[in-house]
Amino acid sequence: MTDSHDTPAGTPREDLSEADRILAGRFVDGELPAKERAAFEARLAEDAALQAAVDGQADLSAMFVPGPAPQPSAGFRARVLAAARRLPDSEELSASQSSGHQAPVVSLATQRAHIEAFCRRLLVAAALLILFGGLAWAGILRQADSGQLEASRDEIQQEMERLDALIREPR
Amino acid sequence: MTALQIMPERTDADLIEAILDGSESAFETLIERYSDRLFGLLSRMTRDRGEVEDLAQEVFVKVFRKLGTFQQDSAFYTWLYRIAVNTANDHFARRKRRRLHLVEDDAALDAQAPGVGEPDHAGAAIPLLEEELREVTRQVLDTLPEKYRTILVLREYEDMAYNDIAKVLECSIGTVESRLFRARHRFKEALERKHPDLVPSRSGTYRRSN
Repeated sequence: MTDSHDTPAGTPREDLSEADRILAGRFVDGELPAKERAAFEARLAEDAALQAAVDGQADLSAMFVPGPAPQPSAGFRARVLAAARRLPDSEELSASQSSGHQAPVVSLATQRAHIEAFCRRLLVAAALLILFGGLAWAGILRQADSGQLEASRDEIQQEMERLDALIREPR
Repeated sequence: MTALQIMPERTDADLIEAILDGSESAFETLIERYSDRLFGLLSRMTRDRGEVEDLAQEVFVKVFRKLGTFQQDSAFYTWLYRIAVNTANDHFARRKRRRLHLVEDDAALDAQAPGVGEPDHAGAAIPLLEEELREVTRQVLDTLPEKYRTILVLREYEDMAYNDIAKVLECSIGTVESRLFRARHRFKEALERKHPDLVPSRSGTYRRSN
């Protein structure tokens, strides 16, 4: 330690033990019970080094002058509440903690919301499927109504053979 | 007017019970009750006002999430402080790891220091010496390791009893005593290095030795 009498705040003398310096700190902080305090005060009256430690401690504590603390902004409370609403229920947490598992990532309410969103998507998909199915069906009908004829594979084969026979037939 | 507004005498225990039963307004009351105190504590740990608010929000959200685990054999505020100190220190450690902890120069400190160069709440000018002393103290405090800075904030700014500090830091009273002693010693050494001209007078004020 580099303590000496002309050093700044909180500097006890070199010859004072660490225990005494801690005691001086407790005295200044009001942490000594009445009986210990009385005994310490009796020592202080006779021990200049101890008194110097107490003075130094008091000087050091006097340096900590609290400035004005910033105030919460207008929307602070609302933001905290909004953030808290997004959390898992405390019951879910305590249940998961007591069972030794990790806390669920989403709450039951969130899971319900996810299921509802999934169902909504499913309904939209079904509606779209019905719509496109209907359109396709209507398209087939239009194609049938357009007068185009369809032949079976056998009919086509027969027609091809007939044409081949005509070509091969000697004139 | 809400029911809570006409029952301001509700204890912390009442509020906690109501919150655990799902009362959002009780949580709102708890936030209102402890905001100033929490902002005060966090502003002693960081100078950035935006950071103070972000941390305070994180602390309250953690309080809400962990309220079911609160053992009501100690004061609520010591539990709140424990969460606040851990949250702030975790945040500073993360920031340091990400190398975003920039070294603040004196000009930046002057610009951000709460209340410096501004009128106080009553509108009257703060005496220069007190203001200067406050700034010097903050500067020296900022140079200390986290565990010493934290215990000095709790004891010197928050005026907490050793017993409560022990609860906040989750350690024994003996540890509080020895850590506080070392913190004060480190503070004094840093003060000597940074401001060797600053000496205490027996009237409890400080002056420059020139």
